[in-house]
Amino acid sequence: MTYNLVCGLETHVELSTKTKIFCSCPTAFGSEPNTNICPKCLGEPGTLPLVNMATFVYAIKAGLALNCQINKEVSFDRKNYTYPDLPKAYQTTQFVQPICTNGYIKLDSGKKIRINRIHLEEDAGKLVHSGGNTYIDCNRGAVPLIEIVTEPDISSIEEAREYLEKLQLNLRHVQVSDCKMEEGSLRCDVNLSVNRPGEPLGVRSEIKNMNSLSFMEKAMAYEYERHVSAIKNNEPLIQETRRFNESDGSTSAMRDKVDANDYRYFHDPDSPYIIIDDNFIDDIAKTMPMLPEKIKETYLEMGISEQDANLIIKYKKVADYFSLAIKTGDPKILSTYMLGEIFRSLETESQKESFDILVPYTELAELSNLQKEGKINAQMAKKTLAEMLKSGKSWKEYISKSDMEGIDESTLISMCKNAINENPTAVNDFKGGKEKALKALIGAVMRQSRGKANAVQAEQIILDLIK
Amino acid sequence: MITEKDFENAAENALLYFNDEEKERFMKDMSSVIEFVSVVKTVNSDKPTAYKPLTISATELREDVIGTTLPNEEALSNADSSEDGYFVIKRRSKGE
Amino acid sequence: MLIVQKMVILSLKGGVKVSNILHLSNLLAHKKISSVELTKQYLSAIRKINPSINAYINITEETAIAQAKKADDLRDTLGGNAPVLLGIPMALKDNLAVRGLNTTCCSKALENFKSTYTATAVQKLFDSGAVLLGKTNMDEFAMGSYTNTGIYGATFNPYDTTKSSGGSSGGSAAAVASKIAAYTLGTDTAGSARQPASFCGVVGYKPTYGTVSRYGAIALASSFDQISPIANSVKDCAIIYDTIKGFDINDMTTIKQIYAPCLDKIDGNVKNVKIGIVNELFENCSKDITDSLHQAIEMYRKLGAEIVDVKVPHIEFALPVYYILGCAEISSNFGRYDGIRYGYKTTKPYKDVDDFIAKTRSESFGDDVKRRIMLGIYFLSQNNFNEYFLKAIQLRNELVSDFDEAFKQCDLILSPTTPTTATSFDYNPENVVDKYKADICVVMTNVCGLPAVSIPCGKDKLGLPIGMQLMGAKNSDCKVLNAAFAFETNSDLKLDPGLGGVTYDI
Repeated sequence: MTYNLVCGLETHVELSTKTKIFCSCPTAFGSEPNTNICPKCLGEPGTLPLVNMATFVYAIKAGLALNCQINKEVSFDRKNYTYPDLPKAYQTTQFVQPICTNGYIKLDSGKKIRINRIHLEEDAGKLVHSGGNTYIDCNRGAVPLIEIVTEPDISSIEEAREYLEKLQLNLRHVQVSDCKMEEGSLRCDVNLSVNRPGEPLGVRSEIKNMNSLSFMEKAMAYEYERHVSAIKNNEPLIQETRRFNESDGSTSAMRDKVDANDYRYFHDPDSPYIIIDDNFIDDIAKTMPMLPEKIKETYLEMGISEQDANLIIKYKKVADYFSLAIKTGDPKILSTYMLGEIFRSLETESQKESFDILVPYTELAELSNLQKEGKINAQMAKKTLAEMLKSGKSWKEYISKSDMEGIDESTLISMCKNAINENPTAVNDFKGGKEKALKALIGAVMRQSRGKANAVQAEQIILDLIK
Repeated sequence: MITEKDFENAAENALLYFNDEEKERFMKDMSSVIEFVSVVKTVNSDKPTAYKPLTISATELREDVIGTTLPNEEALSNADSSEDGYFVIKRRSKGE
Repeated sequence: MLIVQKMVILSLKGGVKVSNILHLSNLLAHKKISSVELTKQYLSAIRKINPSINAYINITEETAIAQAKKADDLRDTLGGNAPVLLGIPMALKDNLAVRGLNTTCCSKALENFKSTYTATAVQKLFDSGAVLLGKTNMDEFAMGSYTNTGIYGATFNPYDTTKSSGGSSGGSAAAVASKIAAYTLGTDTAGSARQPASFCGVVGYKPTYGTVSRYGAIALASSFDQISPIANSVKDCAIIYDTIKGFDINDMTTIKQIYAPCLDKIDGNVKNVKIGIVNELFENCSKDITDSLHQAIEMYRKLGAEIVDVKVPHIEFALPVYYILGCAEISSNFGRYDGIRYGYKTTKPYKDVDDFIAKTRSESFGDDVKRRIMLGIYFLSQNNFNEYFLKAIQLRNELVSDFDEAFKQCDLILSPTTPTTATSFDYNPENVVDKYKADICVVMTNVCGLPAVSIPCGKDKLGLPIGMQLMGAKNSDCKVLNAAFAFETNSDLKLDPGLGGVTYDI
């Protein structure tokens, strides 16, 4: 019997604004400890919050990208608890009036994962435990976060992965965060319960501390099995927070006092109520780039395969570049360039994200048109592109007028005849059943023509001649 | 009258310790105050449950411009213990 | 039938004028005295007088002289364009941050704490050339009405040193009254600047909430706190207010609006001004006080004001609302005192970080502080939140409406500041609620964010000052000060504790 998996995700995303949410300290990552701080984010007595407008802009962009309603009046609340990484002993967050509500992400299957809310809040500092001491670095304190909370609409591990990948994709495209789980700019908590079909929802457990998608999948799988086993064996399950253990893929209960706390939420008296009017939202909407789903649609309409389109839209800069190139160039050929030579030259994910290539999109478009018009063949294009990527020089440096002239049919036929005559072994091998021997003959034609011959045409001619 | 359970709960959340004498005294004082303020429970009001002395537009919020930070030494100057630029707290004191 | 109160006019050798900022400023402008000389006079007076009243808990002599020197140099450059406050020595309540100086709030928790930034209001005074003589005594973390809970002991009333100076800004009020500061800044959360001003016979002014930045005022109850000038005359308070008021980017609760100077609008004309009387505020007051207030009311009638009865229907809820919401905010504001980044740290052994923090906090806070934190947590807890906290907010909104309505019937409301004159310095009633109840007249304006001033209007049989309060609608600060000035300038009340201090009978 299958058991229902019911899951909701709470995702914390670090916004890539220049300054923190409640003070003007830089959000820059990787600085020396306690150097990006000021009396405000240190929680010094007498300090007050100073809300950063960019956090609203970014949160609204995220909300628009995720089909949310943007709320007209927002405010901040205090979530009170004590922990060494929380200087004020409360986190300023949005409890009663979040900035966005009622959005969704549509999965490829058409199913919508509903987003209950998106709210702004501040991050806590970083703790390092070592040698019986706890070291506190407040640099990360007050870095702006948005928390995105779904309804428990997710019914499988695959759906969870797809939701998260689409979330990352959208947020990267609107450039509000780099959404890197490994670096902590995206953190996901899983809320999961299991029940027999037709029966009421099971006990919920919350899983924290997964810093990659695959760890999240492992954690969900483990937790699902644990719940199923408990239900089967009539063992009780408690509503609790659990930590994912990377070492063995298991989850274990967190004995955290924070769980038991009543956060005593109340409106933060140090910040006013804030009105977001339609103009504010419209001005932001105008600056929004095309969202990845829409971009993909335009690529598909141009005949690019879904698989290729997915790979291109995965990186915003790649998509931006590609979208410009296809305006004047051949889309299908351009996608082979992109996913072939160009991606080959950008080995790491990080390189693909920053997409620092020396070839302007105009050059690439022109190259694709040369190939489309048959002035050069695919192989020549590939070789040329490889050189262009290295040097940044124009295709004109590598392809001369004569190169583009191509080979007329009679010349091609005589080259094929030459190839056959000069390679009797290959001919015999082919006649004897070795299909691969044909390649050698085609290769000989290509060499004669210095790569200019159309390999497909040559192959056909050779086959005709041999027969 | 504040119950012992409520008192202990509050003390736990406040991170305050009370000895027996203090507990008795504080419970008595707190009960007086709670009794005094409990008059609010007797009234019905249809006023909003949000107090809004000031409402501003999102356009009035601060620009995203980096300001002056506090030098590390000054930030740590009020802390009793610091190390390598970090605030430090020993998780357990010696002898415990 | 009004009984005319005898006005006691003190006369001391050489005659005494009530010192005020404009006069000092004039003397400095005409080089009759330099700021350094004036500052030295104040420092010498502090050394002589402070031991008997304990108004100052930190005398910043070096800072003062250095600032005074700078002021004198600056005066040469600026000449006639010098700000009024240039070179005039003042003091600050010790919950106002000054970079590089200790801001202790008179608590063990912050005994050795040095602020790393300066409060906006204070910086504005410094930018106008103010000279800081020192920090004044207060109740621990501003919780209290008698300045007797701080770690530096009590402040004694300059008029009778067995009596309290009031609180929590007792040190500031006493310093001004005994003329060992030309003016001071205090803070007022539930009357903490007006009540000591009343006990000490000086002027204490709480501005409209949101017109003075709270940045750098160590928070007590954030939606009630206001920085408040305490000085010897109404115009002094106006000058200070004009200097410190304004929108501050560092305090989002400050109002962005035009801030025209109040001083210009103070002419003492109250013809046709409607002064409202709320009868409940006169109940439970001593006879001396009600008599004195009635005389003041008569004075206003003579000056052409109209006296009307007004009602504040939810008045009985003002104190409960303050205690519920105020304690809630306090409990949250005080979570940060854990000894890790700053402040007192326990030296006892501990078994984990929470134990460390709890021991630290238990050792560093006095009883009043602990009690309010505990009450705040109680009122915010899940079981009580709706019944107490949300209810209190609704009642707060009711009171705001009440005053909106009342100020349609009148321009200002007049009342006693306190129901009694100065209590004994160690006043600590068995039932803590009795302490709180005395704040009935003053707390309302903190609850509703309204401006209010306390000015001396008489003396009781023992010679202790009596204070009268005027409150106005939001942003009617100039009106409030003007009406206060009208009384002050027409009254022949002369008050002086007779301790000496700096006068400018030069």
